[in-house]
Amino acid sequence: MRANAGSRNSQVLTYIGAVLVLLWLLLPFYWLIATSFMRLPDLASIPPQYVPRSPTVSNYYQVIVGGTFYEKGLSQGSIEIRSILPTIANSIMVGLGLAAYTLFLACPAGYAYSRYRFHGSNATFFMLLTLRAVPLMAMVIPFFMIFRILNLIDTHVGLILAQSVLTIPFAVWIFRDYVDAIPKDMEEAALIDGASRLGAFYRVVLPLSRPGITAIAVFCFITSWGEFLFALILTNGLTLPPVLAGFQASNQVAWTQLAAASCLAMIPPVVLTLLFQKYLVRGLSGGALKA
Amino acid sequence: MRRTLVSREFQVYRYPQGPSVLSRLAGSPSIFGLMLCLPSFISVVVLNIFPFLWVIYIAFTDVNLYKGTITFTGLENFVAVERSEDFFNSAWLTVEYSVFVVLGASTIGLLIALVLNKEFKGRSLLRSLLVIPWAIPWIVNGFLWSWILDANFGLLNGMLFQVGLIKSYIVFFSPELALPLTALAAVWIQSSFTGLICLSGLQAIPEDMYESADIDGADVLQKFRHITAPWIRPTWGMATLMNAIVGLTMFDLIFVMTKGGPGTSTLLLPFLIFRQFFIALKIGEGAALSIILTLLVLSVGLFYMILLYRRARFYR
Repeated sequence: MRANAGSRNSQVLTYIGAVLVLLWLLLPFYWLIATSFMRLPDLASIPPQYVPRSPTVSNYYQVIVGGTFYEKGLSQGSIEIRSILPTIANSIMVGLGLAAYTLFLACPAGYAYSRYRFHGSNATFFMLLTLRAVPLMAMVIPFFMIFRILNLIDTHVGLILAQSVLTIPFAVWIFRDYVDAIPKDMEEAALIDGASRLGAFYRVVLPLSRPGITAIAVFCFITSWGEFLFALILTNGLTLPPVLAGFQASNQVAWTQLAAASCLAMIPPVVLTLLFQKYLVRGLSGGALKA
Repeated sequence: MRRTLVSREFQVYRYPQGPSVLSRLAGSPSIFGLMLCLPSFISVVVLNIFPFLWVIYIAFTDVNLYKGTITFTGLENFVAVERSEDFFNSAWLTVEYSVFVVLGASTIGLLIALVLNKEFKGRSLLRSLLVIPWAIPWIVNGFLWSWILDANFGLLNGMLFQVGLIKSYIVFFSPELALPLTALAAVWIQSSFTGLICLSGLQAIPEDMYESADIDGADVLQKFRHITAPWIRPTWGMATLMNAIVGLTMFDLIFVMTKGGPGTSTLLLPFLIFRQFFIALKIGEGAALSIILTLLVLSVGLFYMILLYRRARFYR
């Protein structure tokens, strides 16, 4: 431990910094969460109710169950809300599908880039990296036109294929990084014992790279959960983001209900990252850190 | 495959059970590697490369979505883009926005990482919380900030009013403030991302470097300049470039928070492209703009990729 005259001061500074970081990270959430427990008339009160005076879970109830509701403070008197549960189910399906598709394609490729040299291996790897710089907005129109021809508009498969544009290059890169860290001796031992190359990959490397697989799966799920542009254009509100945006776009904005829906939408990614953050952080840096 | 292609080191131990067709095909390491990559290649070529090539083609055509006709028009779209007032305005706004995001996120992110690298009670909890902003959907992030900044029931308005700094509620999304405020929402997420990356960069610095600096009597600033800064510069640089790309391609926040307004004060290039595609239905012009945006991002992105690639090679 470093103990010198200024250590007391620097301790105080550290704690001030820590409190500031805490506020910066959590305070913005507060108003959204508070709003989700308010009644609409309370929202407009001046000064604002920092703590909802008559907290209610009716917003959550309405968003989950759906139907027509009458409420004070709405100019039209009533509001129609569709249940969000089917959308959540669809979001989960697309997220899992994207994770499966990405893992199935990216793991073998990442392994190959780590262990084998073939014609164009460097060039194609560099190309994979470069593809991440092409903005989604530049690809959305071709997808739209092709999907209309192939009848893939508003289907789970279509959205999964479109979103894989975001995940596959990144996943190959992460998985290669993980395989690089696994000693080669294990596979060589397996080969000597008579395993095929494919067997060495399947039986030796895959089990050892479970943290990498977890990281990629969680990354895919979160990406899909929050992806907006493709879901907006290529589907008719299949996953959560376009549905949430649709809440806001309807002429009678149900602010408190939208807050409740947003809070529900935050839960899965937050829980997943908190559970798996150990694996995620390493992947997130996109192989930038190897130390 | 001919056996001569097989590398010697693997040849000795091949297939005690006798080679199957598949394993014979996979016999050469280079062919086997290629085969493992093939599925992802196909996916990437069909889903990443082909759509982009098509956009390039569309940029030189006039597309009618209803009739389903595509007619070649040469450089007309680019000329139209160049003549329109929106383009230069949007391009400039996009760069400005990106600069805001970089300045905010890279500074705050680095500060967060420096704080979380110190020892204090509750550090591990704070480190876990750091990942949360990164995880929430951009759309929700947009709602979050538009509510705080709302002109009728926003938290910030209420607080300023109660303290007495303002006489009546003000509209934060004014033509002057809308751009920095939409950038603030991006800064919030990206500072968490930058903080995460920089923190793991900081943790990689060997502790004994600081100890020997202490023995030499270095002060805090000297230690930062000569040990911390050089060690995390590559990581921080990477995060910064990432922030720049996020800024250049931001669509979700604009869609939720301002829809490009008021006026055209937050009409960033991605949103302008969206408008041309799906509202004005000028597909060709939108495609031409997409190409320009891609070149803009690539000029930043290529720098990033080269950095990544160099690092990857360096560590091999």
